[in-house]
Amino acid sequence: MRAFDAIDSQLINLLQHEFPLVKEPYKELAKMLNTPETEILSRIRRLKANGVIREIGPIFNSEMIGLTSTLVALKVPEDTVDGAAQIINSYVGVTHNYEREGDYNIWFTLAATSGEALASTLEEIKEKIHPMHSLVVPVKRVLKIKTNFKV
Amino acid sequence: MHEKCDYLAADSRIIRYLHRSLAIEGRPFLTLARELGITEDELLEVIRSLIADGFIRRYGAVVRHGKVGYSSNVLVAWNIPEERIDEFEKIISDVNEVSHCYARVRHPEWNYNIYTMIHGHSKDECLCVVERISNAVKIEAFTLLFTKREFKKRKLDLENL
Repeated sequence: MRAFDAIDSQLINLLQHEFPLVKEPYKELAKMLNTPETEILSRIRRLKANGVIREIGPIFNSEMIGLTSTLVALKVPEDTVDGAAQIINSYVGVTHNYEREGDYNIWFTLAATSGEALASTLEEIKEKIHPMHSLVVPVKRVLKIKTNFKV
Repeated sequence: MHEKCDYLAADSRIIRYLHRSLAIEGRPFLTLARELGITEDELLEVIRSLIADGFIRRYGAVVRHGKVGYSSNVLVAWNIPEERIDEFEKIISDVNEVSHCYARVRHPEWNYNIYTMIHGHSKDECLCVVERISNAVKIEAFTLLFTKREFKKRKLDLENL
């Protein structure tokens, strides 16, 4: 069930693809949608409150702003997944953390401001969790990033 | 006004401030600009150059896939011969359901090197997309890493990293 109407759809698409970089961006969007700015603001606030929009802002190229990151896979006993997940979640550099189907049952991404910091955090996590096995799978090349979704 | 390396030197501050979520108010860049001690116009110019120089991939809203109809997703790890990665890249560039695709380090005990994040309106739709890609590239060496539980998914907190 969609929590939004046709104007919301157009608004979401514009917010993702054509966010106006001007002093009054919402007024500009209001013009584009032929809708009062106050209504645009309240629609965006509602979409944010509903969780449809996570946020508005820049999507940085993490490598270019000096960050190092990697995907990590852990193999841990089924009954220790929850505890391990909690430990992993507690690190600020962890942005994604999932239990997945398969032998490697925990997959998380870790970012840090240097390779050394990344390695030492990873060691710390492994010392706390004692996984049966782990894989460090950093990116070699980006083939595609398309984070905007037409709705 | 702003030399290219300027924001790299000042990076932390300007990038950390910019990284905050934009306010939903009439002049959302104003507060941010004031905190940085620059004008709105200067701030907008900085954002435009950061986009032009590739520091910012895009500026805009980030939506939750699950909330806009893409209720299902699957991470797929593929074993693609190195010399065929370019071909694979071309194939998935036209596949709308693929949001992210990375070539990653391969391990002897985990012989996969390409990872695609696939979104669909259902699990079946995701599987159809995987089949489509698999047929197009004529490679069946892949493994489906369906999500069982999401423990964390959030924007990187640069101010506390």
